[in-house]
Amino acid sequence: MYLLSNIPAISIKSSPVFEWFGLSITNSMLTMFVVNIFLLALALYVRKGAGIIPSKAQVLIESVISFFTDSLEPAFGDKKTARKFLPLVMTLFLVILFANQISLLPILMDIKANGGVPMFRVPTSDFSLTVALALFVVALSHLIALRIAPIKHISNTFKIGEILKVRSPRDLGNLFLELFLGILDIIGELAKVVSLSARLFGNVLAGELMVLIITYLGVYTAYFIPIPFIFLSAFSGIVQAIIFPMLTIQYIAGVVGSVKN
Amino acid sequence: MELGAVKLIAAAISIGLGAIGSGIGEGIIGGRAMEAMGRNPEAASDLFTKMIVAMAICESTAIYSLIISFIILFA
Repeated sequence: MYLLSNIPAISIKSSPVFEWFGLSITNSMLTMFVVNIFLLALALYVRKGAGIIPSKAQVLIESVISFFTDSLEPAFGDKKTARKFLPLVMTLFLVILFANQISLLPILMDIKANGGVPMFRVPTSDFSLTVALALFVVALSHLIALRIAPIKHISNTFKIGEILKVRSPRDLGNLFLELFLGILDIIGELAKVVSLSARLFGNVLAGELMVLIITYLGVYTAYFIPIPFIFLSAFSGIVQAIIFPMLTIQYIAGVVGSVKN
Repeated sequence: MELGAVKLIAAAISIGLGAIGSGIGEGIIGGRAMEAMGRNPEAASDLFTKMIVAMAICESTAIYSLIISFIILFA
């Protein structure tokens, strides 16, 4: 049977390529380095052509910035706070966008390190990157809330203040309910990390594997047939790159808003 | 049954059942967005972006079960 007979080994975790002072460098870390170089080059290129008469790249970047400003302002209420969070949101968007689309570059994904391990791998199809991003975002939202109003933020979750409200034995039921809801809030925060990271990871990995399986399905599907699937994978990569910053905005605005009022 | 066969069946059940809910959800989102665009064609581009975002969020339950399937199959 020819079907899927010579497909390269599919691995969910990234594999180490070489060691650098006892630190094992995996292929997704290497690719993230390439993505960073691309982003630096993009920044320099856009900066060089920037001016009052905008260049083509500048128009593109400015439209992306205005897209995120438009969604930041209603979430945070005022323009000043929205402006403060724009760099974070734009960074997340650009990094995830370029990391998702890096497999569109020719040849790069076919380079093999010694030992047959692929030298490069789409960084967002590695769970460690997405879980790091999600942890960073959720932890950042709590740090900001702690900095604005530390006592209020802690008492929002651990409802210790409710103990003072107990006047009669009948209120005890209410107290236990409030404490239980506080514990549920903590679980909800952990679920945010899982859902953010698993969504990005799953979408990108599914896109990559779909193209791989279609390519190796038979002799005739190796050419031209994967093109629509590559389009689909690239489209879902772009959508995920928009979703992640949008959810970041919602999470941060939700936590900050609950502290402010 | 052998372990390999059980793994294959488990992966198929995981993604098959997980995709039902998100399929229904995405259908509802797409249908309602079309309705809204038909009523108010000027807001179509704004609605389209919002529809894509809502669909991607709705899709995530299917993606979770897809990850479970991948883990069962390849890890």
